[in-house]
Amino acid sequence: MICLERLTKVYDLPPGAGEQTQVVAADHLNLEIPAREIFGLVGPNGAGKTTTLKMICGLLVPTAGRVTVNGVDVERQPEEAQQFIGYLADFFSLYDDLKVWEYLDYFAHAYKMAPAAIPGRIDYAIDVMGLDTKRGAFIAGLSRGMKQRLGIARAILHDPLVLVLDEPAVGLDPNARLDLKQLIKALNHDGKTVFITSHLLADLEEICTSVGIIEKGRLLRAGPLEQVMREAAGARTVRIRIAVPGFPLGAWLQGRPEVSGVAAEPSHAQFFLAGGDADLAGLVKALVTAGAPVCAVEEVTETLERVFSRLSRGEVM
Amino acid sequence: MTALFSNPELIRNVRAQLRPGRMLAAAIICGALSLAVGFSLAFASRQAGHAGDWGHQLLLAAVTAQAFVLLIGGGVACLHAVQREKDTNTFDFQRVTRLTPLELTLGKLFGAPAMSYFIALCLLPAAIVGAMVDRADPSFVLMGYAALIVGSIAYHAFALLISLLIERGAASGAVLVYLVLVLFPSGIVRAILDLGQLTPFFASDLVGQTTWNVQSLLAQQRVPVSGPGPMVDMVFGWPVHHAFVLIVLDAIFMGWFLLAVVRNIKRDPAVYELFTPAQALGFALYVNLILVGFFRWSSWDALSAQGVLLGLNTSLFFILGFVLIRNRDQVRRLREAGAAVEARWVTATWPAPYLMGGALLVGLGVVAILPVMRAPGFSWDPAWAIFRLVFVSLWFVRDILFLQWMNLRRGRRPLLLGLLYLVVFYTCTTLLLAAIGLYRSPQGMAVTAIFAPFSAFARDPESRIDARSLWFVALAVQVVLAGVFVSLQRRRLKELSSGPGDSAVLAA
Repeated sequence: MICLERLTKVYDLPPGAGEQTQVVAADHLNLEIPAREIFGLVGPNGAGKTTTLKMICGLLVPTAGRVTVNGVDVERQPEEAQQFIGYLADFFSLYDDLKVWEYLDYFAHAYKMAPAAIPGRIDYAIDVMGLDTKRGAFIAGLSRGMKQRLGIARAILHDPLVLVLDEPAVGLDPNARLDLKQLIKALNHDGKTVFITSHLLADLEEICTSVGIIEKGRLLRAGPLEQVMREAAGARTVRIRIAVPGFPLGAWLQGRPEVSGVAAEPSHAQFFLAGGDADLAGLVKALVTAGAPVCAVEEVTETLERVFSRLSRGEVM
Repeated sequence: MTALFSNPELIRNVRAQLRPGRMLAAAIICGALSLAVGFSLAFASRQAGHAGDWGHQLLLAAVTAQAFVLLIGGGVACLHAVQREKDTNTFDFQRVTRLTPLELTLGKLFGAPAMSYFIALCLLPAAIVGAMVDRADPSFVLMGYAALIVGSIAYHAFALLISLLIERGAASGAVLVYLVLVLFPSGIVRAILDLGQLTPFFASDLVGQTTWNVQSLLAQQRVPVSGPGPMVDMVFGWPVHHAFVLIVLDAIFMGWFLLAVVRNIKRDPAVYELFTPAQALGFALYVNLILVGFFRWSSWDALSAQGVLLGLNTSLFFILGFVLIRNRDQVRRLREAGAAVEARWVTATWPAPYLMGGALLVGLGVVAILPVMRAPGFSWDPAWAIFRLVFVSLWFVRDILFLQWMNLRRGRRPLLLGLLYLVVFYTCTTLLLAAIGLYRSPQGMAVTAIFAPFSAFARDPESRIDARSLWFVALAVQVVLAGVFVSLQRRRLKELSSGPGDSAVLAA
C-alpha cells in the first residue's frame, strides 16, 4: 500500500553547526507496507520521522527516491495519491473562525467527496470522535484535546485508504488516548492502513502490527512487530526460580551450551536461551533431573521501549 | 462560474468572514457614512449655489472609497492569504487535499478579500445615487467599474504571489512594498511611457467623463508627468482610450501572476520555480511589447531611447534571472535525472544561456524597431547599439552567475548575501572611480566599464570611438569573469553530486 524506494532527504545545516555540513533526514529508505497494516515508526527527536511522513503525503519533495501510495507516485500525481491519504500533523492549527461542522464540510468538499455522502460522513466523524456536543461551536472555543480530536476527524473524514498520523496522541487525556487506540484498531479492522509515529512506545506496541526503528535517517529495523522484537532480542530471555536456595543454579546454567548471559541470585536466575520451546522444555527437564527444586519458569518478554533503547544505543546490530 | 461559487476555499473564506453580524455591522457603517457624506456634500453644494454638483462629488467619493477598500483592504487580505496559513500550519492540510492548484488559487484570490468585496458592494448605493443625480453617462460608470474590478483582481493576484513567496516574519515588509506599488506607480512610468493612471483608482477619473472620442480627448490632453492621468494612450503611435488599455494590461498581468501562483501553490517551498525558462522569456517579451508599444518616442533620441529600453530590460532580465536561480535542493534533485550535473553544460552555466538568449533576442528587436520609431535628426549607430546590448547583457549575466554560485553555497541566506555583496561592490567602485576622475574622459569611461557597466548607457556617441580598444577589453573582462563564475559553479555542483554517499542500506 505504501512503498518507499531509496527515499532520501538531505537538509543543509547552516554554517557554524560544526564540521557537519548537512543532515540526512532520510537515507535511502526502502520500505513496503502492505495494506491493512498498522505501521509504527519509532525514533528519537530529529531521526527523520516527520520528514518521512511529509514525503509520503507529498508535502516535501524527496532529494532522491520515490514514494507510491496504492501504486500512485506521490510526486508525479499528487492529487491522485492524496485522495488515498488522511494526514494529521504533529503540530497544527485549525481555522478558529469556523464552526466544527463547517471545518469538516470544507475538507469534505476539498477532498471532492460525493456531495450526497458528505453529511453522513461529517456525522460519522463527529460521532466517532465524540464531538457531538461541539458540532455548532466555534473552533476557537475548543480545548486542546477537542482540537486534536477534530484534527483526527478531518483525517478520517474522506474515508482514506491510508492514515498518516504524526504523534496523534499529543494533547489527549488518558481516556481520549484509549479511545484513539480503539479507533485506530477499528479503522484498521475496516481495512485502513495506518502509518503512525509516536513517542508513546507502549501505545504503539499495543496497536501496531509492524514497526520501523529509525535513527539519523536510517531504518535500523523494520518488519512485523514480533519479528523485530525477536531479532532485536537475539535470544529469548528466561527466568527460573527455585523453591529452596542451595542449588548452584548459576554454575549449572553456565555449563549449558544453549545458555548465555546468566545473571544468577541464590533463589533465581535470568539468562538468554538460544532455541525454541523444545529447547526450553529440555533445559527445564535437565534442571529438575539435576535436583533443582524448580518452582517457576517464565519468559521475560521484550518491550518495544527496551528494544528501541538497545537498538539506538548500538547494543544490537 | 458555477465551479467558482462552489469552490470550497472560497466558501470557507466567505463563511469565516461574512458572518451575519459582521455583514450587518459593515452595512450599517457604510450606510451611515454614505448618508453623512451625501448630505454634507448636498448641503455644501446648495450653500455654494451649485445644487447639482454634489451628485458628481458623491459618485467620485464612492468610487474612490471602493477602489481604496478593494485595493488596500483586499490586497492586504491576499498578502496574508498564504503566509498566515503557513505561519499557523494550516497550509499543509490544504496542500494534501484534492483541490487542484487552480482551485486553491482561485479560492484564495476571490475568498481572501471577501469582506472587501462586501464593503465595496455596500458603498454601491451611494455611487448609484451620485451617478443618477449627476446624470453620469452609464457607459463610463460601467467601464469604470470594469477597470476597478479587473485591476483589483490583478493586484490581488500579485499580492497572492508575494504571500506565497515571503518567509515567516516578512509580512509587514511585504505590506509596505505592496502599498508603495499601489499608491505610487504612475509617476515613474509616465516619465517614460505614454500611459495613463495605472492603478484601479483610474475608475474615479473615468466615471466623470463625457466622451469616448479619442481625437477630441487627444486635442484637450497635455502630457503631464504628474496630475490627473490622461485618457488617451499612444500604442505604437496610435491613440487608444486608456480604459481599454488598462483593462487589457491588467487582465494579462493577472494571467501571468496567476500562472506563477498556480505553478507553485501546492509545491514544496524548497523547489518553488515561478516560471519555466520559456514562460519567463514569454513574460519578458510581453513586458517589452508594452515598453516598446507605449514608449514616449517624442521625448528621446534613438540612442537615448535604446539606453532607456536597455536599462529597463536589464532590470527585467535581472529579476527573471533571479527567479530562475536554483538552490542546493533543486540541484540535488537534478542529480536524480541523470549523469553528474557538473558535466552538463546547461546546468553548469545555469541560468546564463536562457538569460543571454532572451536578452539578446529582445534587445535586437528593440534595435531593429528603433530606426522606424526614433525621432528624426539624431545620429544612430547600429554597431554601437549592438555592442552595448551585448556588453550589458554579458554584464548582468555575469552578476547572475555570481549569485547562482553564491546560492549553491551553504549558508543561511546566501542569495541575499550575494545581493548585498553586489550592492557594496557597485557602491564602492562607483565612488572610487568617480573620485579619481575616470568618468571625465572617453578612455576613463571605458575603463570604468570593466568594473561597472553604467558608462555603457552614456549618450555621448563620440566617447566610444576614442576608446574602442578599451571597450573591447571591458567586454573581454566580462566574458572572463562569467567564465570564472561558471567554473566556481561547476566545482560547487561537483561537491553537491558527491553527497550523501550511497551508503549501505539498512532496510526492511
